[in-house]
Amino acid sequence: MADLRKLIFIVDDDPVLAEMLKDHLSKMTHYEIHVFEKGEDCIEKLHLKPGIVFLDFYLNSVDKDAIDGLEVLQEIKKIDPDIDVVMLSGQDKIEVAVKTMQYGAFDYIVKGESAFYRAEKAVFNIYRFKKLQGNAESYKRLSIWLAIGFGALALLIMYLQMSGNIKDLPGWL
Amino acid sequence: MSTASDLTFMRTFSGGDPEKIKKYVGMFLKMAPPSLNQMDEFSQKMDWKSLKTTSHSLKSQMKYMGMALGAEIAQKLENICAEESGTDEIPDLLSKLRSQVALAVTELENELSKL
Repeated sequence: MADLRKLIFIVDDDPVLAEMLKDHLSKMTHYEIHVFEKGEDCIEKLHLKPGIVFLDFYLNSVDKDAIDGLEVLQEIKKIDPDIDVVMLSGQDKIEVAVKTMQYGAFDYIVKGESAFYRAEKAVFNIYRFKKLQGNAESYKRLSIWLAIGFGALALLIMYLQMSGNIKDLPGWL
Repeated sequence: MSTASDLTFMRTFSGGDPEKIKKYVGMFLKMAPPSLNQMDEFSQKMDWKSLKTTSHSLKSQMKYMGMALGAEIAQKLENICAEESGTDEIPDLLSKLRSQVALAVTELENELSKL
């Protein structure tokens, strides 16, 4: 079964946006939510195994030396590729969005009034994607076990036939 | 008469919950004036990168407070700083932004007192 982790990290140095997003996602989902102002703090807490990280593209408006969102994204993917990262940015630029996707982001949300609804949709899409991934893995495992089972059954029947315990092989063999 | 701020989005977003509106607007009121001071400092030091980052951050917050003109000015500042071209416009833009924020602060405080 795919890992359906119920923890979200929000990493944004804009406390107003972070608080609003936290309140919105708390209301609309059943995830536990942790907020970080800096990417470094988020990376330090990745052992808590968040399923989703909402990550601001610019993370240095408060601390000029803080690492930026792209660096944090790369670090997260290096440490735990199963974490889905949704980038947040005030820039509605396709090249920025493409760049974040190339680095492995699941989605890119432009900050604005619709950002909260889009964030909620992203959580839903990630959950659905993970669930489908889990189902696909289950079917794959089931197929493998069925193949092994049939193989073993065929070998048993052949053995029984060769040892004279049964006369004829079934038609499917 | 036009206003510098508009809490329509904030009211919808919070489902009309006055405590939430107070919380978000209160955070903005606490953060915006120091951000403007920082922006003035960055401008004097010609630190365009820092000015761009602070304008960018303030712009997002102003959008949620319905400060359309304020957000537009912040966007202009962000663009100028990114391109490092037309920087002579910065003092005037900062002054306009300061006026917008001052107006919005009065309006928002007034709105909060009614909640």
